[in-house]
Amino acid sequence: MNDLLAPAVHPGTDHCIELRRLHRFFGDTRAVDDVSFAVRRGHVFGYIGPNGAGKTTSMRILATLDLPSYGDAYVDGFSVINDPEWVRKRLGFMPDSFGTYRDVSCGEYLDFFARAYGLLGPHRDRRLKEVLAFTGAEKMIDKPIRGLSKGMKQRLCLGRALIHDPAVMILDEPAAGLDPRARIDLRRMIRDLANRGKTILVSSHILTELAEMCDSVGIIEQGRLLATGSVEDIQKQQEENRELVLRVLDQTVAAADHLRTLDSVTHVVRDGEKIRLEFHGDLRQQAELIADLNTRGFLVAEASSHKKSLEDVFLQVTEGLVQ
Amino acid sequence: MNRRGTFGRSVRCLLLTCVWVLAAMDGFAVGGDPQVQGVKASPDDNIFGDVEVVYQSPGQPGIGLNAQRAIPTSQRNFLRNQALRQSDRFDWFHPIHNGRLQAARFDTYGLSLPQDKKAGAGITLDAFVDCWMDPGYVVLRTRLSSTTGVSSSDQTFTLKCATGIAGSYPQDRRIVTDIAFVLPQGKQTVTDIHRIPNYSITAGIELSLFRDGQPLPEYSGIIDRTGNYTGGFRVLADWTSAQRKSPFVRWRESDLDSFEAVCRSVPTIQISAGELERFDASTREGRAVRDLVLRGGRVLVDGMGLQLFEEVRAAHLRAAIETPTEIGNAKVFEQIAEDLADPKIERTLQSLDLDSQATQVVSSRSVVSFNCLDSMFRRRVGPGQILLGEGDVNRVANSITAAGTPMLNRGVDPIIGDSRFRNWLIAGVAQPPVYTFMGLLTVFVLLVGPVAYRKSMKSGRGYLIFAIAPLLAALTTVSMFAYGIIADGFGTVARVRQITFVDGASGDAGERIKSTYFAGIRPRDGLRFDADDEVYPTFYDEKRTWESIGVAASDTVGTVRFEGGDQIFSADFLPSRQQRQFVVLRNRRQMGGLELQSATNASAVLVNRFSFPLRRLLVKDLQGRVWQVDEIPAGASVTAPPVSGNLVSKMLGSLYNDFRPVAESSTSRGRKSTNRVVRDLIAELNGKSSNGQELLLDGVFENELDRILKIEASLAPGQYVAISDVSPDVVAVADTELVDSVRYVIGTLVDAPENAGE
Repeated sequence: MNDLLAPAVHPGTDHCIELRRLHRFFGDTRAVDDVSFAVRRGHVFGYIGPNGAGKTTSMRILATLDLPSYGDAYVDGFSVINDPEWVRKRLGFMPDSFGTYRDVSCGEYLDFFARAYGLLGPHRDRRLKEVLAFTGAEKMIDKPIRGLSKGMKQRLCLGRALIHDPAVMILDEPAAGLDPRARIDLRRMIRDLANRGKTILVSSHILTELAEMCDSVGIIEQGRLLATGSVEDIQKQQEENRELVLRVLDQTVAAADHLRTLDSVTHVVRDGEKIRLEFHGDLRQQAELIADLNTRGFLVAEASSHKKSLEDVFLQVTEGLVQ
Repeated sequence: MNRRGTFGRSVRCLLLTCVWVLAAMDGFAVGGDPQVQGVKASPDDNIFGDVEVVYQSPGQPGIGLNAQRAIPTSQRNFLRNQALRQSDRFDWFHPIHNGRLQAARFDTYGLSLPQDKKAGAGITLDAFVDCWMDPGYVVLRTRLSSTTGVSSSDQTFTLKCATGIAGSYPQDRRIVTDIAFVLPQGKQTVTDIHRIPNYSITAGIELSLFRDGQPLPEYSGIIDRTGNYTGGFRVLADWTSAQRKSPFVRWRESDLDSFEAVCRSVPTIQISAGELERFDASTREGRAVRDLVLRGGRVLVDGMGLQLFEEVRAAHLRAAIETPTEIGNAKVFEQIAEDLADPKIERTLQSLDLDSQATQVVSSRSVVSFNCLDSMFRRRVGPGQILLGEGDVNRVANSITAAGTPMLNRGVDPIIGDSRFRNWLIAGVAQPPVYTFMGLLTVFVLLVGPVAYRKSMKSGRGYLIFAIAPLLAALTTVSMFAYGIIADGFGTVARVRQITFVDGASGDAGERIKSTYFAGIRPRDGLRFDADDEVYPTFYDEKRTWESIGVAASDTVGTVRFEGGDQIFSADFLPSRQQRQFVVLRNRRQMGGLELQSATNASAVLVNRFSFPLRRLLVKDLQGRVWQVDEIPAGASVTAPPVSGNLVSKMLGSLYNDFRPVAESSTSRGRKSTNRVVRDLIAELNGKSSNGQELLLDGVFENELDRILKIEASLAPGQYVAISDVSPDVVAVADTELVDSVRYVIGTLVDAPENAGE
């Protein structure tokens, strides 16, 4: 299993994935518009964006399936423009829709790709066993692909991307259509791969899962990278706009009216004794607000602020635009 | 009988052809005298209109402002005096090298022959070398003197020099250079300077002298570290060493040769503004510095700090109010002010990953270093850079320039070879003609099977099948072999990637030429390059590892001879039917430029003052407007329409992508090595010196091209880019067919500041 750990293949960089001013135009459409970020070796990077945001285009460029209009992307220090062959050797790409040959068995399927990557003899056999063991597909080695469930097909596709022991993996929507258990398994496998030194770029619509398995995320919309960093960092950046719920006894209407007059408060909604509002400020300012309400004679019985999830952050950062 | 006779003649003819081809591969040759003409230096080059103490913001044309035009005389004197005061503290110049590479690399060592003064043949030979350790060109200075008075007749000598001798690393990069010279009648002494190639970390240089083709037994020896230290010139050996109290050396007039040698061997020199001011454009020092910058080196000018800059800027602003002609200069200085404290420098400092020794030095000075950033700024000059600063410049110099080594600048690694070899190969040659072979084998099967069987059985001589089958097998084998040889022809094919950075102010240029050759029959006359070129064959062998080169047996890669203005690499460097690659660095003088004669918002008039056409030309003027021309012939003037916005970036991107250096898929190798570690020296140096922030895998020329066209996809004001035909003088073999070649021409506009007011 240790063989799954990719060697330090290129001494020139710590960033196993790097996009530098990546642009891709289709006519007048800017599918990818000045996207730059870097992923360190052994990290999992979550690539988040609505449909049509440019995620798959970026991933296709990284996988050397497309050329950027300008800018460049580097995999393990190798340019996708100048060194596509080196990139392919170091990259395992799992597209969102993958082709499988219905009538071949899982073993034959993996063996085919192992041969395509030039693995020979005992080395190929060993890699097949390792990959089957890692993906938990040993028992299915002789089963035809047509009989596999969606989850098992995803495992098999992951195995195919792993077969040549790449240093970098790009997974486009790997959890799409999987049941909760399969998702958990996939998440575990991705984390496991990262712990073994693989650098992983994963896109997904299931943001809660990304938050759990990613070291950092990038949010893209309309081809532009809107935010990037660790989940905590992005949450912190957005934390200044927090949702606050106050339960004010007796004078709820007056309290709501007062809150509406404050610059730091927006979207005040009264719900019985509860007042929901959006507060712009840090925790100290939040405490001062509550103290101020008490000083003014409003009886604040409860106060709760909602820490934004990645989904909240995503919704806040993006505008739901597609191109 | 007739048919048998025809068949026999055909076989004989084919066999004779094969024998001829085999013989030709070994000894026959093609090619005549190639007309390779180097561009020679002109004495009136105007460097110090360029590398001036005055800084010019990135994107302004020319290396810098021409001091005579840009600075009023009073300010110029003020600058000079200030700079001279600085130079009291800091001596002349300081070659800076990667701190890891230590030892007395810039010392000068010598050898006098014969070593036994009583022996000898009436002559003495003194030879000196500078900077001879690293791969690169070694400067060899020779002085041949007659001990018996003036020579009574012309005497022809050949000095044979070998680098990569026993003890070198690796030992299979030995290269022998023949230098011919004449002691003329009536002269007692002849001195000369040669630059000889060295592709190893050589342990020394072996010399042997020949007279009229005959070896002189007493005249051979080795220049190595045990040789005479001439003491005439000593530059910093190890600037991180605590034992060295001062990293600076005093310049002496007699050290010009060494200065030139150092400028050819180091990626960076530090020079005081005062001394730079004293240079004259036509001097050897001036040319050496300019050549260094245009070859991708860095010049760190000390003595031009923020305070001085501000004073000069203020003077220009005052002048701008009074004199309309000063407005342009004032704008430039305003731009400079915005460029101060370039954040990139800070990032460079932060990202450095120096070895422990250097780290200690840097960290102990880090506070000072970062304080210095306010008074340090830089600009790019073609592939090179000029850094200007004041006061503590020398302290940050280490950090700023540690990323550069000559090998990184050149982007070719002659020690272990590099995989970038594969990114510029000639497609479709030296490949097995699979389909032709399949056809021949099918014919063979048909002939030996149904046809031969039927014919022989029909004639009642079935036993003949035992003769026909092996005969046809042999014939098929020979046919396949012959086809394999003939298929690629007997001529030479080359693929050239030429990158020319032109400085608009002086018309000088730096060039990197990556060329791959394939010869059906190796050229008897070898490969002919200009004597001033730096030529590096790209040795690439996938099986070559650090371990294997450590134990490699001594081997000579080839011989080079200097003849007239040429250096001629022997045919060993281009064997038959093998792709071989060379990287050449060259400086050109006064090659012309592109002039923006006038411009309105609707059109611009451009004049091509080069001797070659420019195609797919994009020009950005000082106002930021971009003009585009499909083709502009040599010497012609055209009116260019504007092009705007995204389209410019797209055009620049496609200009790169259309000629990108990429390996052909058919050249894929390494079936078992999908994750094999790439361990060439350039990658190692990159990893250690730049921490991967800026990979210089293909050298500064490719890196700058990459940055302008691909990454930033934008031109700086006053800059242009175009493609053109490959210069005939960069093709090293006569009658070579060029395929898939490209020449990028990137430069700054001629006299663009005068056009700024349009």
